[in-house]
Amino acid sequence: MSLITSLTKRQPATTSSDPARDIREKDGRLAFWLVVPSLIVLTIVIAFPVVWSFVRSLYGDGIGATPFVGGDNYANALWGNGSAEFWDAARFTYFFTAVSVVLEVLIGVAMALVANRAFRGRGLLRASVLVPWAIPTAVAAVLWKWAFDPNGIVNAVTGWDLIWTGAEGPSTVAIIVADVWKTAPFVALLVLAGLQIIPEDVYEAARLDGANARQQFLRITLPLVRPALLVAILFRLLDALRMYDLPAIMTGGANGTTTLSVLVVQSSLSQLKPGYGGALATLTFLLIFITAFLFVRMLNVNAVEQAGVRTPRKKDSE
Amino acid sequence: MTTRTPEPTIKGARWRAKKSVHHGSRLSMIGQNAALAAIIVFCLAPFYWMVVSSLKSPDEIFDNSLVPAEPTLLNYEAVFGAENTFVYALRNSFVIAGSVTIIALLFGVLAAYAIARLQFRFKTTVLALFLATSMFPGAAILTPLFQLFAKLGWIDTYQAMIIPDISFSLPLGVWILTSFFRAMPWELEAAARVDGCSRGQAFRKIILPLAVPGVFTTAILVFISAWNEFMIANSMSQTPDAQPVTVAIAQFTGVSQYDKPYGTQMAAGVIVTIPLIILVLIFQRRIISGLTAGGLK
Amino acid sequence: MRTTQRIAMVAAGTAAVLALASCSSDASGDADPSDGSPAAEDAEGVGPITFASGKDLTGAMPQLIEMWNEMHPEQEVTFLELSASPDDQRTSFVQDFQAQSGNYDVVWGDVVWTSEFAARGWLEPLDAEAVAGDDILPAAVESATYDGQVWAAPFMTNAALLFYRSDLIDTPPTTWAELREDCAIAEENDMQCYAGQFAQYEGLTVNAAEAITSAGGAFLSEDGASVAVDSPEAREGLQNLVDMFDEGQIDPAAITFQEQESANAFLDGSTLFLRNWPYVYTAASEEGSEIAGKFDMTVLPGIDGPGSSSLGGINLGVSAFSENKQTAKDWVEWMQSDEAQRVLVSVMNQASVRTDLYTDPEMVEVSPYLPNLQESLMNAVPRPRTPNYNAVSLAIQQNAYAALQGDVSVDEAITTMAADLELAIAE
Repeated sequence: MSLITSLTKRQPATTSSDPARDIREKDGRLAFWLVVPSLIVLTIVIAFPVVWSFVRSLYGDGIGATPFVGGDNYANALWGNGSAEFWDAARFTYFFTAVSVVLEVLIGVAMALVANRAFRGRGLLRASVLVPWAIPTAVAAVLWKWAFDPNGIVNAVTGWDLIWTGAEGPSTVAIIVADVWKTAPFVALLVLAGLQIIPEDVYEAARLDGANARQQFLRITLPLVRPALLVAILFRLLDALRMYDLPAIMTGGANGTTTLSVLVVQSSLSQLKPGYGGALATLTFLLIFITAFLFVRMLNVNAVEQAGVRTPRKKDSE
Repeated sequence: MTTRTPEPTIKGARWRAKKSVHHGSRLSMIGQNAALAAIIVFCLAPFYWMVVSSLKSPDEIFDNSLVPAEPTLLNYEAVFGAENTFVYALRNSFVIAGSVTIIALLFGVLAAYAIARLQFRFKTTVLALFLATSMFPGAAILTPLFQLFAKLGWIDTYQAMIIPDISFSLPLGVWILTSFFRAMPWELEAAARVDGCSRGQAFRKIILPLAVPGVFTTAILVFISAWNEFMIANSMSQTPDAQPVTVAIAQFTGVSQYDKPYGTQMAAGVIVTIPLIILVLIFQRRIISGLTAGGLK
Repeated sequence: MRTTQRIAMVAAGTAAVLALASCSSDASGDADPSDGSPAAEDAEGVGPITFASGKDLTGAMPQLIEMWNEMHPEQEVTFLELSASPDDQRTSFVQDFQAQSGNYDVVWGDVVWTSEFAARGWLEPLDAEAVAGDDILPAAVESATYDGQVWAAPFMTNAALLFYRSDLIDTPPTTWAELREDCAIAEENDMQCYAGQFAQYEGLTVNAAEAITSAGGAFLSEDGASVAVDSPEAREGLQNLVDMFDEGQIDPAAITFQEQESANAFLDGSTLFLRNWPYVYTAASEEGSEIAGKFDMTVLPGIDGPGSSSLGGINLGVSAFSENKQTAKDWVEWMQSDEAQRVLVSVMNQASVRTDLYTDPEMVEVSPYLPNLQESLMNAVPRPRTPNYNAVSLAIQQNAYAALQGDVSVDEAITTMAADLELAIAE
């Protein structure tokens, strides 16, 4: 009896019998109590400021008076006076995100694979991987800023004579290098944790079937760490799209390295235009939301669905 | 898309919390060691440069010698300064990041369990909601929260930093934990239920220990992201009583207002990074040995 | 059961928090200046206050506060030291003002912030006779004035100097043409000729302003209400810097220079001329310096004669939301006193706003650059005074930077700058 319930519980979506519905209701109630605390916390911390920013974005930024202006701030950013700035920032933000996330994933996965298989030096490796991630971003940005100085260590080691932060291309490279170094470990740590719960028997079985290393990686490792990897990419994506400190410290947004977040800070805090800044923040949010949505849809990053080692099931839409 | 999981091989698999079985020839052994070295260099070379810079005196800090000619602890003395407020800053950072980690894990584990294991309506919506909170530019939530906390008299208190930090650490925690819980061998839970365990007991005794690598990884990631947070802390803290290390580092100065105290900042970076690494290594050993002792093979 | 209760409590708490918050959103600051000046001129408003300043490098602030607190035990000043970064300081002030919390009774700020804060009703108007009298440098007073009213007490001031290698140059140049001729000497000695601050940040606004005002140009009209940059003079001024980059009289790497990098280039002996603030004197003359005894200072060059420096410095403002405004006003006034300013010069090593201290033998002994600095200060021009200073400065930086990089012609850069400034002051 209990065996049957536990089995149906594992796959309620494929079972359409009445007990399953009971379970679903019971599940629903329990789930409600488990999820609600987190939702309440997030409502206070996020919903309130977001709504505040949005409401504020509908008002002007005049000195002395802030009249209701409706969508003017948005129009200004999208096709008005601020549009060149806004779209330039959007373009740079996406370019930066695409390049650095791809590099971070490649390097991060490679690190995790090596770390997972290493016998000796495992502790050292783990510790080293953690180092870049553990250094406060503000300090890391200063480190890289001086490293990329015309008289800095990067030019000294490579023998080049580049003015890194004096032109668009090199500035972009410098910021991407700093970001990849800092956050590839984030990807590595997540993937490594995913790798560690793959049972060795799976590989043994595959080897008995004559699978080579590449096949093992593509057929076993990758599908099994996929959930962890996709979550890592998703969060890197969100973070990179909101990038602020590295360009702020390394270039101050000069040389076309103004990201959307730098623009938000520039408007709302530096130029004391919370209305326009609120509009930029909301637009940034929308862009990121759409990007994340497409990413989740296209790659089927469904934490709900990606059981990894579960029996394949149909999509359990709400 | 989800059908490529090699389901047949999994059945009856023996699960291990940790595995380090090496397979491959001598050649791949060499390749592996090379890869190992490459990774260590990639991660540590800039850090090495940081340590070297921190040991140089102001006179030689901008020469590019790879070893300090006359190593000095001047920068480290400068970090702790006459008033030693950096010690308070370290304490504050531990309190803030620690609280954030505990809260995010506590709430996160519950929510992730529900999302991974229970059937309920609006699950996708809930998950999307968690994600959406990580999409708003951090700077934009500062002003409203500052005004709110100013009204509550919370400026310069721990909670004024802990609560906003949760906005990014809780979603991170929920998503990572959910992905790990999904990959858990829930057959074991079922078996435990057969043996008469309640759902809660099965979770505590079987699933949670198995999830430890995932939970631990999440804890590290969350702790460090809270530890490194600057923008919120810089707004919400005003005195050394509440300022975390990132804010304290921003207060370092050179000999003039125009000199950025590069050496001191590097020294501070080293000081805040090394304890973190040691802490993680100690915890890691504990947890892994704890698992092996638990006999979860 | 218990859980339900607890969650209900949490929910109620949330509602309360949100209700509170919605009250706060309509009071988001931006009040009219006239609202911000309540009739608090009476004897009320006396009591302890908090003074927020940027990081103090020297221990002068605690010393000043102790002096005051001993004299006024009932009106103690608490010192709140903020980040070393001016941007971070400004963010802290802005947030505090927007929340109208009054946590900071007195704030210190860069001279260009005074108009920004005053226009938004965040500062308390001050009595011109008390804090802007004849004994205070006129340029500093001007920087604290907005819309015909004094809004802050000038506390310390600053102007740029031209540092040069006296071992290589006999008579320092007074015009740009002379300076560029002297670049031949740099070439002979395998040195860079001239360094300033040309990275895209506030320092570039300062350098571009000097180039343009020294050539007779200006960014905005006197009252800050209209754009004046679209002129041949402004073009001539900027062109001069661009030509120096083109001809290698300025190191290409200087496009990344802020104060520190440019000072390093002079301190290591590789640069002939440096435009920087007086602080470089200390590092250049201390024992072990490569150029100790081999350098001197003069005023910045201009087109036909000496040029004009941008004015730096710090003004002290009283928060419109302070509860003890009377004490706050007395404190800023005392900070200008002879007694306090002597501490400023001798301990903090900063330039005083009091005219008489520049010729005081005791002070000149400590800081030999004072006579030069006074001359520079006499000709110093405040940066544009406008409530939209930040947007104005960004427009200047971005366009000047593009011209220095050679991405656009000077003519185009000035035309675009004028258009961008028009938008910046309109907003």
